[in-house]
Amino acid sequence: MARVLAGEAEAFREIVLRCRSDVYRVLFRMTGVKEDAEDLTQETFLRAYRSLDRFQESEPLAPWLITIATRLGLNFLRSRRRAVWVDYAEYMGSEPAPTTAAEENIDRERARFRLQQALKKLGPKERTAIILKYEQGYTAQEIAEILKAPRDTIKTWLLRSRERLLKEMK
Amino acid sequence: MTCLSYRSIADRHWLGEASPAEIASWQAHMSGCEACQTSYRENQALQQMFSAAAIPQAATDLDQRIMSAVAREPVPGRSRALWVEALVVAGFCGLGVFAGPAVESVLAEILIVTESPLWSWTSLSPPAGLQAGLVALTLLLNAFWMRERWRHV
Repeated sequence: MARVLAGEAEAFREIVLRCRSDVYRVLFRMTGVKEDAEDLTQETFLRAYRSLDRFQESEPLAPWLITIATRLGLNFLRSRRRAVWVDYAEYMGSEPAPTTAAEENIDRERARFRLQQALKKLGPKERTAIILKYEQGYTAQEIAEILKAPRDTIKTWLLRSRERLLKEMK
Repeated sequence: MTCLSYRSIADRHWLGEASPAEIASWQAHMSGCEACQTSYRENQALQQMFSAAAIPQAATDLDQRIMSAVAREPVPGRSRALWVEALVVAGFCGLGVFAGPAVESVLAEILIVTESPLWSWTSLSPPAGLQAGLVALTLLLNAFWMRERWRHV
């Protein structure tokens, strides 16, 4: 961090390499579209870089980046009003015919599609909360800090979203 | 305690808020309760669904794209330093405009360099053109500050 602030921008690459995957995962689950998740990941790191001088080094880096990412993701979802979800039939049609080697991937794609469809039925904030819970393993308190919402509200969102997901996935 | 109470503990455990003693009692109950085991397995299945659902690989050049974008940015914190520098310079300019004549006037009085000082205390206001210049400079600094702040939002 000190190296970046001293003007060594290349030192920021270490932060990108360490945290990019987590940020991208969360944003992909939020948006459901690879290209949007990539653009938002880039924007997240750019914002983080610009605000680096205000980051407290005693704080963990990943939750700070995830906070920026979820804020951008929520703004993105709000601005678009509705997420563009890849049509499953269209998507599968563009894939090669399933072979033994590809079957596992096809199963994973099917699971992804079902999950994305279920997530789509949640509100943006509830969706974000449940993604942070399942993808990052954060506690209700940590999610409350990231989303700047009361802990009890987060608990309600999480429990309600889990119920809805369970119902959708059955 | 009923199954409902234990499921409440299970929920709090999931939220990261159950105490070790509560978790132990819930686990002890669950080992002999088929209904609670089923409920727990359902929740576990959801977690597994997240793990199993594929996430497409990000573009291979994403890291490079990020770093290229970062390279075009000024060093963090430097833009704020520039703003502070600009303010200090402007402050000194303003001070010079207002205090210069005053100092000159006082020195003239003390040293009796001249009968009538070049500037008097009553004529400290700078000329109208200079005032307009100061206003423009202030506006410029404000615009600069707002632009820099906006970039950090």
